Amino acid sequence: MPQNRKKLIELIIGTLSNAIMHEVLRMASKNKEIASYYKKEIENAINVSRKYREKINPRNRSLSARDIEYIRNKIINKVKVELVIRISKGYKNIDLSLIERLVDKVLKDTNIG
Amino acid sequence: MLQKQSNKNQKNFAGIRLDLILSLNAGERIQIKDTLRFLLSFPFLLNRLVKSLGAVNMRMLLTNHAGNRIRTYVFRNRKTYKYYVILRNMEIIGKISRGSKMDQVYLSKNRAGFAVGNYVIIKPLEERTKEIKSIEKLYFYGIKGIEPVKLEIVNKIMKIISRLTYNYDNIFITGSFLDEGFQFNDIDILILTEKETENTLKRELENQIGMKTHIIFFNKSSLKKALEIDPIWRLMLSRCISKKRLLPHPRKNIDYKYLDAQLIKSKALFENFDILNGKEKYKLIRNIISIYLFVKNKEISESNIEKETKEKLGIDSDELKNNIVDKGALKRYRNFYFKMEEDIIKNAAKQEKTN
Repeated sequence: MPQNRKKLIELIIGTLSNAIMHEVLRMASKNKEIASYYKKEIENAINVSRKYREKINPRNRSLSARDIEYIRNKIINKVKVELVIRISKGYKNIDLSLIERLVDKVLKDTNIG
Repeated sequence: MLQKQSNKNQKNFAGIRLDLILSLNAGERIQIKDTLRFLLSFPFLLNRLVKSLGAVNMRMLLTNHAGNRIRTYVFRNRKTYKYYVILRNMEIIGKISRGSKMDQVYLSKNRAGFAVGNYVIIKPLEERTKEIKSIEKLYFYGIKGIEPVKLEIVNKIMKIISRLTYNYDNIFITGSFLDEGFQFNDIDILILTEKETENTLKRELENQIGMKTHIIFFNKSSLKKALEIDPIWRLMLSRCISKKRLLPHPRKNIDYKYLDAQLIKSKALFENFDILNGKEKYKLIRNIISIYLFVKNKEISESNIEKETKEKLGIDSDELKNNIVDKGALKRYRNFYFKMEEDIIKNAAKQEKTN
């Protein structure tokens, strides 16, 4: 159903945005090597997204270019907004150029792009 | 006379369960459970029973409370064969300690077999000093009780890791495996070593115990760092079984930016509330509450987390695990999350400026 499809895409955007934000903040932290022990937790976010993705057609192929573009842009914007808020409050060492690379990677991992 | 002998026999076999399995000529099997205990001392009566039922053979199993088989009788063609099976894991090596009125041997509450009321033999072990040295006792932290079968798995894991990882400093078993019951996904194993063992360890462990494992390698400095800055690792090691004694935790060092990154994981709860199961929800709430306790300088333990979850969010942990949480609690959680996020971002920015 179209409503469900839209809702599922929004859920994927939310979940992947959180995972990417976590990753960018982790890289900015001076204790990034400790956070890397949480591989299992990051995988969990990707697994949740996969659960949503399996409910969207076409299941076995990547989504249409229009959908991919929409999801990609939404995630990038959402993560950027959150990170820019933090930078404006005084956070340092946040590398915004990481976002696009990470987004492309997770979209591939979740069989979206 | 017969009655007297029977009573005496029952006393000797206190705490032991007797099961009879009779195979009949027609290929049928009859199972008589723990009812004919008195027959233990009268094998000829057992033979007569077999004959009267027309059984071709009979197997009689004696098991203790932990389910370990300790003796098997097999009756074939009216002859009785008796086998004794003494399992290695039913041995406990203890040390006699001095008491005020009587000396004693202490038994750990977490053990396989040796139920209260069982009769045991105590004898010196002078010739087996080498073996005694190789058997080390385990250390339990924050664990009130554990199922004997899980304890056997733990012992097996420790043995395999000791065999395959030569230079380890300590081994910890932690996570949901230590929760009551058998609803765990995998066994979290933390190995403290300066040298990581390749993937063979995971494969070997999973082959031998038949369960999924999640192995994390730490060296001494990274574990110290993790315990200094990360509430989840403090929580993990507040409830664990370790091969060697656990050193006291290092002093806390709050890195707000790091906590901000960890806090984001808990955002998934209100975004994915409908799709997450009870266990996943519990993990996300546990994450935020442990960060809260860490920042507020409170002790991080499973019981404190449950208490704070109830106090701050009005959510009962058991209900949460069973996924019975109402939407009102979700609203409280959302407010709590954003308040925490705001505080952490503010403090992280302050910390950045001072650094």
